[in-house]
Amino acid sequence: MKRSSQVLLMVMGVTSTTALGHYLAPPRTECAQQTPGTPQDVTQPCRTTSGSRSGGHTWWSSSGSGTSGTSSSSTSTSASGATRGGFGSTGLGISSGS
Amino acid sequence: MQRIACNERSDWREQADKAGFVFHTVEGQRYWDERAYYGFTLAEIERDIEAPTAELEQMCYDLVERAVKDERILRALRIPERYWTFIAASWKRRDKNLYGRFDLSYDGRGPAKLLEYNADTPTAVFETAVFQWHWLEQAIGRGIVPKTADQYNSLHECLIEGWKFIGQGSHLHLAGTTSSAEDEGTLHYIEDTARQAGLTTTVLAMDAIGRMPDGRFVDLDDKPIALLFKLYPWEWMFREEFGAYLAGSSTRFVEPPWKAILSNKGILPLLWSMFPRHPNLLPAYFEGDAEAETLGPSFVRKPLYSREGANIEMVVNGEVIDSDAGPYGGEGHVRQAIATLPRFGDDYTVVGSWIAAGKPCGLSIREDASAITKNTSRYLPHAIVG
Repeated sequence: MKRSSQVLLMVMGVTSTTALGHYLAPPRTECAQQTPGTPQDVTQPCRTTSGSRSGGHTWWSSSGSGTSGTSSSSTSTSASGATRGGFGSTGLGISSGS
Repeated sequence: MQRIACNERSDWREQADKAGFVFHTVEGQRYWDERAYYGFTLAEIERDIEAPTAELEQMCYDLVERAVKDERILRALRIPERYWTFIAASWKRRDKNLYGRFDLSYDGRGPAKLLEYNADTPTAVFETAVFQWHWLEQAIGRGIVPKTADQYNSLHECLIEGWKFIGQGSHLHLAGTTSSAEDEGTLHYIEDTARQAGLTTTVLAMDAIGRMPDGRFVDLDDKPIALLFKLYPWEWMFREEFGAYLAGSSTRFVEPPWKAILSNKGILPLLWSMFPRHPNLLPAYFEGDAEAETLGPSFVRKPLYSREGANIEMVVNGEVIDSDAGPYGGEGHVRQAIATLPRFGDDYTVVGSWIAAGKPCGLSIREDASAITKNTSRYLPHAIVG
C-alpha cells in the first residue's frame, strides 16, 4: 500500500474553504515508509509492488466527420465584453461523470 | 477475490457527512455500502489488476498515436472533423492527462477483461481515494477486518503528483455541472488535490465560463482561464456554442483534448483490432462491420458516447434482456462480446481500476442487481487480505 498516513482534506464540503477533516493511519508496523514532503517521519501501511509496466513511451516520464452541430444555448454578454453561456447546455440535469 | 460480509460502522453516515461525502445515499438508497467488502490477495492485485492496467493504458496511448494520424479512425469514432486538428495538436504537444478508470470484469479466476475505459470524466474518485481508505483505517481499528489488511490505493497521492507535473504554481480553474451533488463533490475533491500540489484554484459552473472578444476563456471576474479541469465531456463541449472557439483559445485542458478519442466506446473494437486476442480485451466490433456477426446473437450493444451505463443493451439470443434508458446512441454503436459479470452474492460485481499520473494506483468495486453498472450501483470497499 502506498498511502500517506496523514492527508489533509482542505476543501471538501459545501463551503470548500476550510479544513473539514483529517485522517490518520493507525499505527502499523509491518511496513515503514517515509513519504517525502510530510511534516514528520511516519510509519504507514505499504505493500510491495512490482511497479507499473510500460512499453514504448511512458507518457508521464516523457518530456515530453462525424456528427456535429451546436446545441442551443442562451448566451449573454457582460459590460466587459465577455460572452457567457456557451458551455454547459448539454449537462443540464445530467451527471457528467462516468 | 472474495466477498466478505462484515459489520458496518455504526457511525458511517456521520463519518461520511463529516468528510464531505454527501452522496453516500442516492434517492434514498445506499450508494456507499460497507456491509461487505471484497478481499483480494496481493498477487491478484499485482498480477491481475495493476499490471494489466498499465498495459491497457499503454495500448490506449498506441491507439491515440495511430488515430491522430489516421482520419479513418477519427471518422469511425464520429469525432467532428473540425476538432481533428485540435485533438492532434494536443497529443503532439504532449498535453498531460491526469486520471482515468478502466472498468473490468474480474472474478479472481482468470484475466480481467476490459469493459470500457472512463478516460475523460471518471467519477467515484473521492470515495475511492479517501472514504474507502478511511473505512480501512477504522475497520482495522474496530476489528472489522484483519489487522494486517491493506488496500490497493494510492490514488490520492498520485493525483497530487499529477498536478505537480501539470501545473505546480499555476492557477487552476475547475468547471463542471454543479447541479449534481456527485459532480460538485468530485470537483471539490479534485480541487483539494490540486491545492495540495501547490496550485491555487477557482471553481465555477460550465455555463459561467466566459469568452472575450479576443478569444480567451475567462472566469466570472473576467480573469483568463489558463488551465482548466473540466468535469464535462469533450463530446458535449464539441457540440456546444463555445466549442467552435476551443482551438483558438490559449487554455490548457485537463483531461486534454486527445482524451476525446479514448472516452469513446469505439476504442473497444479499435483495441481489439490492434491487439487481437489480447487476454484483457473482449472481441468487439463497430455495428455494421461484417465481423460483428462473428459475435452471434449474444452481445452487449454500447453507444459510442454513453455514460453511467445509459443506453447500453445486453442482447442474448437476439433478445434484449437488460438495458438502461438514456439520451445516447445517435452517433452509432459498438458490439462487444459478453463477459458476464461475476456474482459473489445476489448482485453483479464490476471492478474499477484507477490510473493517475500515468500510474495504476487504486481499485473501486460496484455492485448492482443488473448486469449493467449504473450511477446508482452500490460502492463497496476492498482490502488486501492475503
